[in-house]
Amino acid sequence: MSSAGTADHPRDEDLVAYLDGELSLSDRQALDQALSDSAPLRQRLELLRQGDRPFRAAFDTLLDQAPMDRLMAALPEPTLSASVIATSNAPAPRPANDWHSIGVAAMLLLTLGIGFAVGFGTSSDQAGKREVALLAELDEMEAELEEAEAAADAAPVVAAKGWRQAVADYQMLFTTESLTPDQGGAAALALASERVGLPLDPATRAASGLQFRRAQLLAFNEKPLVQLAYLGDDGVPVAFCIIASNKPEADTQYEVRNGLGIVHWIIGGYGLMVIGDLPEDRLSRIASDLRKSINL
Amino acid sequence: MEAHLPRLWRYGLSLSRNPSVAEELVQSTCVRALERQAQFRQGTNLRAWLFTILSSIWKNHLRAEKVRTGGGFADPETELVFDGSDSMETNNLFQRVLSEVSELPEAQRQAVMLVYVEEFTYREAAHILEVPIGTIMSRLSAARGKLAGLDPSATPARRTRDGEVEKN
Repeated sequence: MSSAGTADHPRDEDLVAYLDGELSLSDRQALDQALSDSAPLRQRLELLRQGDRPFRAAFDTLLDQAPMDRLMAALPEPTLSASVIATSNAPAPRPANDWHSIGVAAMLLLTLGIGFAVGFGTSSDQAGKREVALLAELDEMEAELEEAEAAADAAPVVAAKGWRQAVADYQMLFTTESLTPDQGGAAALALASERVGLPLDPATRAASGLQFRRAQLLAFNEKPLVQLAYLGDDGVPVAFCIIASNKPEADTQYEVRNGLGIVHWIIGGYGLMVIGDLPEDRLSRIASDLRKSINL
Repeated sequence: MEAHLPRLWRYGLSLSRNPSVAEELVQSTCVRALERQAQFRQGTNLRAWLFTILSSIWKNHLRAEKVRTGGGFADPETELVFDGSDSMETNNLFQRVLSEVSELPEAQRQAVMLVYVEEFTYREAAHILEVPIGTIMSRLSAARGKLAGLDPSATPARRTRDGEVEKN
């Protein structure tokens, strides 16, 4: 979404992306400035805003009209593998609403030391869950959901999507420029190491092709979450994140969230992940380097 | 997968503007999803994956078939109007929104459905439709402009970043 033209000559596309909360942080700031400088641009923004509609509410009225009996009939007889697909839906299919994403990211940014919570229910259909060999992934998501539900009573704010999703939402806000000035102070790294209880210094120079730019101490569900931010040689922002975890150990796995690649694993009481818009093999090599650098 | 059926059907309906084609799309999507379940990565977004499959089926098969057989899938006179249920009749605003979206060109309608109704991110919508993000931006911008009553010829940028010219 980042575009060189956003600041100079914002186009309708940029204004709509602005309204939709889809601009990167730097583009949004540039457009804020452009809007404050230009009355015609503000008018154009308001015109485009008039093209908004209660789309979701209007279309939600159609959901009840889906011919479920006939659609269900189209589903093949349940098989073991079909159950896997059905079960993988356990955390309710809450859409990846950009407001929620921004909310999660903003809270990660702003609420050091304050965990966030959640607001949606589990899928009502828990049946059949035990009939499949439950994947570690699902257990983890369930546990996170339960934690999140417990927290929801206190602060029903943001959809719980687990720590990796929260990190992915935050990572989407990063551009090359976000990390261009080196912000890596030794103090932040020392604080992060202390709070998470791991010497992190080796991780700042462990991965070839990555320049360490910054350490940040964030929080997820009231647990310290460390983010080490790097820039790849090609300017791609990459983050290495660590959070305490009581989950069983798990070897590295690859997944994609928000279009970003993630390699994650659990070891020695920590959940770790590497995230960035890089191919799986490259990300896996980086994860391997970083994994070796952490003494677990 | 069951939980996603109504949304898939709604998406199919918005694409085809034809309830029976929408059903056909969902059925084909289910069949293909089960055939290809090995390709689904656990932990990734199942809903997005299913929407990708449905979009692809619509693009590659059904549309071609309907065009060949003159099935009239894209009859511009057909709006998203349903069996006169009370809630629809009494809710003029929502009905108007459905009609307005129904009248958008297909590419814009698809982007509006994915981003504003299904609330996928631009990036997810681009992935589902296998187009660049710039194309999603351009389609949404054109849709908003149209709904706001802006004259397309007066719109400054009619060309997407990847050079595609939006059809109106």
